[in-house]
Amino acid sequence: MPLIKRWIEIFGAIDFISVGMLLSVVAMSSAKRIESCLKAYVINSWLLALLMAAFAVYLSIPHLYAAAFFTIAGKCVLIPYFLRKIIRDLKVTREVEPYLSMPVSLIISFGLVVLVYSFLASGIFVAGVARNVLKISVSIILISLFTMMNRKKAVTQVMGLLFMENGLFLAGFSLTYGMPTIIELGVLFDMMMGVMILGVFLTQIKKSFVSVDLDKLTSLKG
Amino acid sequence: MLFFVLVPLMAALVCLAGKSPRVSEYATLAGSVIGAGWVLRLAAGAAGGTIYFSRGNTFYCDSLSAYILLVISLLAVAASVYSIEYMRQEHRAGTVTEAGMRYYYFLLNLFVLTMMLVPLANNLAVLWMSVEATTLVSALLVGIYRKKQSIEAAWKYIMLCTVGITFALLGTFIIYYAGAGIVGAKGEAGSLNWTDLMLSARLLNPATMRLAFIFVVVGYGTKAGLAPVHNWLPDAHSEAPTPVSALLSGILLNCAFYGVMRFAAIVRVSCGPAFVQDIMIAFGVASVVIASLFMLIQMSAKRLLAYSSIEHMGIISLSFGLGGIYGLYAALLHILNHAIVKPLMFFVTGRIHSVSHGAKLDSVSGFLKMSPLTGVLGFAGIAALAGVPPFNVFLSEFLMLKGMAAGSHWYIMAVFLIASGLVFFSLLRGFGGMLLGKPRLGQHRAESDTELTHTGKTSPEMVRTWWPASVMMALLGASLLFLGLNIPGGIDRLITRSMGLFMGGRVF
Repeated sequence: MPLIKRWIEIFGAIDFISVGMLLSVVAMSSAKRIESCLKAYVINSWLLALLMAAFAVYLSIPHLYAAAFFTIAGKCVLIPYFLRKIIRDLKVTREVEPYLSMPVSLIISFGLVVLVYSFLASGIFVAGVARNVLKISVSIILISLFTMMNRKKAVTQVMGLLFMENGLFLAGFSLTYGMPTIIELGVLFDMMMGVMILGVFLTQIKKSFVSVDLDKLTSLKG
Repeated sequence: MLFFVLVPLMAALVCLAGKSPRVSEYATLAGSVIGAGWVLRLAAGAAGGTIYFSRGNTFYCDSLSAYILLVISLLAVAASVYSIEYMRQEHRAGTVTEAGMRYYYFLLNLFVLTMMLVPLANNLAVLWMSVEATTLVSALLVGIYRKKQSIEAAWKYIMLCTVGITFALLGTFIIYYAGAGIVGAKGEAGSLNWTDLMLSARLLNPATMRLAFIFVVVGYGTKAGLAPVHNWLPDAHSEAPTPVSALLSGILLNCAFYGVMRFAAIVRVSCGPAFVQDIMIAFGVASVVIASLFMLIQMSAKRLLAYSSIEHMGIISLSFGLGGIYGLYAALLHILNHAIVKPLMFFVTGRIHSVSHGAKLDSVSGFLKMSPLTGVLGFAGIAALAGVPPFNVFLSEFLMLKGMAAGSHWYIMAVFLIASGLVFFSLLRGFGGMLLGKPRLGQHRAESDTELTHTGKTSPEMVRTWWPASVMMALLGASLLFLGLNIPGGIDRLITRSMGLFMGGRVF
């Protein structure tokens, strides 16, 4: 264990993993196929769980192992399984159909990261091993928000929301080194329920609009 | 004492188990009445200064919690009475099946349960979970008809509110961060309990708390319908079943605003009151102005009422931001006043729609003659919504104006007065057209063959009402007048005690 702790410190594992999460969000925001988005999400969730485990080892907080375990069960197994099932059942076409082209989305994602780094330079100061993580996680949240606005399909919006939640968990970890386990479980449960209910609505949208494009959801205005 | 909050859960389980919609109806009614009885006892205790803690301090109830709970539980009774009339009509019209009715009552009870958990939560993360749970349950209720528009509204609602509330959770995390290392009373790393944070509020880093509060206001403000993050609200309110619209508008928005108030109480101690006040005033003025402008172009009664909710949440936020004795009293009193008048107006609109079968404002006229009681209540409701004396809303709005004068906010006062003029005009034009004139259904100019002969014989059969619902609506109407003339001592004590949380005096 002390050896692993040293490694985490020497190799900057915490920074390394969170940058990996940021990269997977950028990959999602410029991906062309829904399957790639889903893959990016699975990678992102595994990295989140890995980060929790790294924190658990580094800070010797045993209850974070449980948090990592529940993250793997919920975000790496259950939710991707559920989404795959929905995509298969609804016969969603594979292209994500963004409003903006890939290079433009990449530039905007980059711009968002710069924005976050310049704005969060003051106001909140995090010391210690997780000092860079808050900025990365807020970048992840904003890039996912941008992706949600940029996509026509309802499924990809749900994915953007899920990425946002991962970013949120990352922010929570960088700030607090883990909330009490019961709180984390509650938040995770709420989010799972949210995804399930969105799935129910997706099937209903498909049934009554014969499509899962959000372009068709335009009857309510003003 | 606090475990009585599980009464709606029992009622929900009965709805799930019962085979007939009658069982669900009466279980819901019984559940809400028992819940209201419990809340009345709790509120009586809280008005006397008692504070209830659950084991482990995760839940607690002080005067502010009891006040919000009181509003929730009374409105839950009103909504469950009206639901019976409304859902029977929908069933007769063939819009819902018997299974659909049971499912509706099941969700309705769960919705009330999640809303009751919000003011009882002491732990700020539990508060967040409860608010998120209200979104999830009520989104199912909004989409219950499975029509195109209602699914669209539900989708928008759940998406926007979940995204918004994500920011509130980020704000909660940041506050946890600010409190870590300071709060630890029991050897924990930190505490998210509001009571603990409030005790150590002076020690929290102001810059961090400012950042957290901005995230929290945007997050819970989305749910509370504050402009400019209100876009989900008109759709969800107009597409939901009418009793649900009444609950959404009357209390759900206040539950979310309650979250903002709890955070504001901490932040105003750690960064000074000016920061909190400026943000709340800005959101309030924006909501009042945007809502009053959008009300001018609304063609449907429920959307008109939805925008009026945004206006009234703006008024609550504005008065809360003004602070001081007048502002705070006005904000808290306005929560109750709005929670009485808005559901009443939704119930009246529901009855109008049961005749007209169309949501458009010009699809009916002369409703006053078809159902005199409902029509009169509708007029009282419009007058109250617009802030006409001697109704209750006038009292809280007048107190707010007094708060503005005390703080010399003359520009804000001018903007508010112009906006409320516009609101009065839109309400009177919209509802006046439906209530006054010859009894007539269908489009005004197009189809004259649907015109009713106003011999008075056809009217009673047209409007099928259920007498307990009429009694309940009449009681709501009477309390509009009663609360405009006199504030009962118990409510006054609850409000003045709650004001202490934001005045820097006694904490709890």
